[in-house]
Amino acid sequence: MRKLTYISVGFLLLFPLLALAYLSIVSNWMFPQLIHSNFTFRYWIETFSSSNTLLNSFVTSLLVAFCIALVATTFGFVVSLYIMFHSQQKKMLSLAFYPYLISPVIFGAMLNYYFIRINLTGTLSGILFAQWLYIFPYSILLFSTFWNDRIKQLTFQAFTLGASKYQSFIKILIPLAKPWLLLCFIQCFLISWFEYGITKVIGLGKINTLPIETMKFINEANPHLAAVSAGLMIFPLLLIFVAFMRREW
Amino acid sequence: MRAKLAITAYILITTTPLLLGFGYSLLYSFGYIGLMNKGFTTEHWLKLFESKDAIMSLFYSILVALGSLITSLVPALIMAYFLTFGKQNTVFKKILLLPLFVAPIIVGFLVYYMLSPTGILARIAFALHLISSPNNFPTLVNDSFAFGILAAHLFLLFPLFTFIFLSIAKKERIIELKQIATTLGTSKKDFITKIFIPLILKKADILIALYGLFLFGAYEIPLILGKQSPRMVSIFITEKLTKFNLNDIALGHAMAVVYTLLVFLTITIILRKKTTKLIPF
Repeated sequence: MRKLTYISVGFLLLFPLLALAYLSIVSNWMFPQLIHSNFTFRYWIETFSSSNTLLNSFVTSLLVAFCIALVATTFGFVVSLYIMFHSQQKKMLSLAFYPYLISPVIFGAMLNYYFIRINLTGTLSGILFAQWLYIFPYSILLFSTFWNDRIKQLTFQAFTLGASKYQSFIKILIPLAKPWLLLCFIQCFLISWFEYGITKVIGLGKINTLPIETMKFINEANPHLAAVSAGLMIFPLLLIFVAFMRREW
Repeated sequence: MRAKLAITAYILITTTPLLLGFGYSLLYSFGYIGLMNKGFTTEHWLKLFESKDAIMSLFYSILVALGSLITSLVPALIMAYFLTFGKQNTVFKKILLLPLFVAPIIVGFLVYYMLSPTGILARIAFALHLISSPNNFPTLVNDSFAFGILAAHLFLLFPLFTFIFLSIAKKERIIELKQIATTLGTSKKDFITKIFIPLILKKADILIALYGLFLFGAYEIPLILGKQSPRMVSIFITEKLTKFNLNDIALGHAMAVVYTLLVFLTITIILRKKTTKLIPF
């Protein structure tokens, strides 16, 4: 019974992803065909041709997600240090929940006026800034779990033993925080990589990230190109997943 | 000095955009600003509360969020129980991680291609001679009961909740707890209903509420799988604010104010509890 449950749940989780791969390598898959024999790599080959917009969107998404993850992780770590050593740390920390928990698309729509006034709509810098406004608070929340009593005591001990602020930061805190820094980078990267709503509202369709392209193909009822676009979104993440699978559970 | 600067910058970054956005929407909804507005008016608010579409959107979002939570929590609890007390199945646990790497927009697209009248499920039904045309297939996407949305949320949330529950079960040493309960004469049914489920849900209550808030503001999945009316509150607001009907903009801002107030109120209630419980790491 238990084994059967594992198999069926595992199948239900894997099947949509297999269907996605299948959709990207068939053409004219019409109802009621179930198994289609007209396999083609045309969509993938076209994607990797130099003039294809999908590849440009992949690069844009990668650039945006990488910049957001890097800046949010760096600033998040430094600012969280000051917050967690602050006397009002709980009140300070609670501020981060509000921008993070509000729906990004509504947040973007409410801020759109200001973005228009400072000429940031439809620009890459506008999208980076808009995404950063709600991903940065998330990094603060994530790092708040790092600053436990043990870490705080270690820092105080380092000061007592004569370490400077710079030494304790570089030689104690950063090595200890490495797993958190990596986790925060990955999480912020994923949030930005998946982001559609705020990018659509602030980007006005001028900045084509992969989610924007995917939705465009879905709206055009082009499942094959939508599947290729979705595949490009999942592929780098699957690499991370495979790397994770290789590690001992 | 550096600490003061960092704290000031942090307060400004977290509060200023929200206050500016909220303030703009509030002023717009009361007619103080905006192209079509001519001064203070409660007209847009009255219109909002009289609009069946707007009120339906709000309640529909709440119902979808609650429905998605319930449909994800039940299988997650069962799976967490199986994985805690059963033989360790590492391959299955790794497969459970897969949905965490899939964007909501892709899940929406996949569910659409699974459940639509010409989708994979309908093709299987046709091959099995259960239906003779797509019209015979039940409406499972863009439907009134949000079946497609619930299925997509289940795909995304069920594995996540399972991992959260597994981590709680480990932290609370639930295996030892079961041994003690069994020694003291508790039946398996009583252990599940009176110890396992209440303990897990109690420890995860705030996190569950948080995910409820995320679902309340969900956008991509309802955009692909939802109906035109009633629609989720996020779609209602963005449609009113970004479409070209200038008369509707104030209504969109009024709804944005209602949404923001509801979210702020819920967060404030949640934050009254210990903040450290909120972070699932």
